[in-house]
Amino acid sequence: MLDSKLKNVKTENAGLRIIKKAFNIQEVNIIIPVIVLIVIAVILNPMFLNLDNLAVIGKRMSMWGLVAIGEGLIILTGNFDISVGAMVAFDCVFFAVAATTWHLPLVIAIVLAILLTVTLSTISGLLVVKLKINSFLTTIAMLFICKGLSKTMTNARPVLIAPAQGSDLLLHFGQQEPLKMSWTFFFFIGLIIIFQIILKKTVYGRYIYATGDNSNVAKLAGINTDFIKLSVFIISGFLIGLASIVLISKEAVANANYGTGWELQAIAAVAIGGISLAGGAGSMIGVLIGIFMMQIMTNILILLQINLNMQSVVLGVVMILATILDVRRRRKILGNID
Amino acid sequence: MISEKNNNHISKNFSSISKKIFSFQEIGILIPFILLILMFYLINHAFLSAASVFSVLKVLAFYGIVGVGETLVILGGDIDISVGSVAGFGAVFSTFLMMKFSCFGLLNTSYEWVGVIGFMIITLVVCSLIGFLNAFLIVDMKMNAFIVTIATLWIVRGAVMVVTNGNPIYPLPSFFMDTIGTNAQIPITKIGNDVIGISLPFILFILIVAVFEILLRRSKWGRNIYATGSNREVAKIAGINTRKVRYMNFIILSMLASLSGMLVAAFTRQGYPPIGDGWEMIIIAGCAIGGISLAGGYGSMIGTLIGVFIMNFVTTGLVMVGINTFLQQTAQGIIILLAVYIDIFRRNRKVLS
Repeated sequence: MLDSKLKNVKTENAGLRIIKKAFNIQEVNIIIPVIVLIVIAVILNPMFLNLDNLAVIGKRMSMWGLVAIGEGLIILTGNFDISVGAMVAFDCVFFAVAATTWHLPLVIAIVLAILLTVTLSTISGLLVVKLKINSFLTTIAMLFICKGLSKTMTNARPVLIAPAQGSDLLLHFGQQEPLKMSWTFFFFIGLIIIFQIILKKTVYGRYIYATGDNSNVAKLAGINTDFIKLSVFIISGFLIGLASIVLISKEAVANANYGTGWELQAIAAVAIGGISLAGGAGSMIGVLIGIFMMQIMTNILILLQINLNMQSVVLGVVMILATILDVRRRRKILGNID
Repeated sequence: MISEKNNNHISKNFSSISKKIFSFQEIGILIPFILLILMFYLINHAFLSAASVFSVLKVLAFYGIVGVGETLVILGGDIDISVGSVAGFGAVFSTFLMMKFSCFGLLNTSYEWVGVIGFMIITLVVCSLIGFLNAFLIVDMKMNAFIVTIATLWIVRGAVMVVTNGNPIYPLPSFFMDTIGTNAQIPITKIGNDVIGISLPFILFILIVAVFEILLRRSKWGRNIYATGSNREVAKIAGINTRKVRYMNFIILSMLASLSGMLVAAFTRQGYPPIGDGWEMIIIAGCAIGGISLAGGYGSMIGTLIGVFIMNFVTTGLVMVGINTFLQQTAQGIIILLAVYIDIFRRNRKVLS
């Protein structure tokens, strides 16, 4: 009986195994739903395959996708960051105000904007790691703080970038579209690949997995879990800053409502893409696939001209389904654990 | 040597008395709170005027009623972020029913109250289903409570907005609007033409807090909740039906949330769909301030009461002192951080002593 069981294991689809081994990806199983989703999308509205539409998908994806990379890293280490969207809004507003009202040169404004999100994320990280405050609470508080500050700075009105010196350079940069796809898309894919390599091929990456999987054991094994947990917050902060600059370069206006829902989209994408919400498992390719699926779904809803409110209902259902998948996946690996 | 012993005895007495006073777990928070209130009063005397105080009490009652339910859930080891949308749903659903069925045909008659109360009860039951759904996904499907309740938040809020198109339901039965709503208060003073008093929501809030505090402290049900929250595995081994405990918590919370939403609708005299927007964070912050440990198993209703008081009075105080309204949210965020830090500090001190 044991023999036949072993035989069954060996005869797993050889093709899949080769791909899995080649790319060290466990998420091959997720590509099927993606293909299914694309087929559904095309059936529902053939316009989906329109090059312009695909370009829009790529553009939108690459903005909140940057944020999702950071969120994925934080979730891998076992924490959450709910403030991400509000930080984007605050950063955009800050940059806009710095460039226009404070008349700072563009480059300085960009640097300051990125420094701002890095600092805010570092503060969140320190509160979570050093003071051991629950990451949800900390980042909820940070969300409030950022939302309040962005509304204050803008007086609830959008801020135009145009009057800033060098703004046309930034906007020109933002509108570039090599190969009909926005350059930000390639930038985003590049970052995904870089972080995938970091996660899978470096010691730092392995430490991240260890910390997320079982923080206490990792600590006993000599890994500085505090540093790992803090570092992903800092990296996320940097990525959020980048995302904000990219967003501004495309929209030319800073609005205190930017980034709303990005954090939840990011968490949903991460959950769909195979990063266990309990931390310690998954990869960037998975996150990419999750982001891809979320964006396609949003796109389908828009093409079907579905009410925005209905969209949030659908997104909510998707999140629940994604999490059920996540729990099932975890159970398969760990056995029936509470 | 003998004098040393005497000294030890005296200082032990003193330290045990002061320990008793300072170990009242909420004392740590009360002192800075009272100082802040004094500061606000000194800057703007209107802060402690009758109108201001009673209006804050009314508002905090809406949050507080939900806060009681949220406390139960957190004490049991879970969390529920969907409460705001359930409140909105309660508001819209109840008012919709009342107007659609004209209170069982009794609208504008003296038996209108039958319809009003009837539909309120129906809404309570329907909203308990939302709690049931949350509980099912979290307890039976073992999903992360944050993710599930955030998803529920989106779904319920989206559904409400889709069905109503953002339009408020108005007008409402006068029993609802007047008797339960605007006129429901114990009058204290009169300012101009307005009667200020202790409003119905506030009375309900205090009653609910009292009832649940007693239940928590004195009943087996309450002890089961604390046990489940402290250590679910051990509670299970001890024979407690943790599943039932957690289900009950979520269901009660949903019912309280919808009740609060209905009260808001009564007071604002319309079924306004965005009711409940943003409530969840303020309520959880209130609980956290009140010493409810987010890990579960530690805290009390009195703590929540104090936390809700603090959250609302400080926010109002900041506004009355002249801080930009938009900074209110920022202030709330900082308050959350401070409160949680104080809580952790308090807990560490207890462990050490």
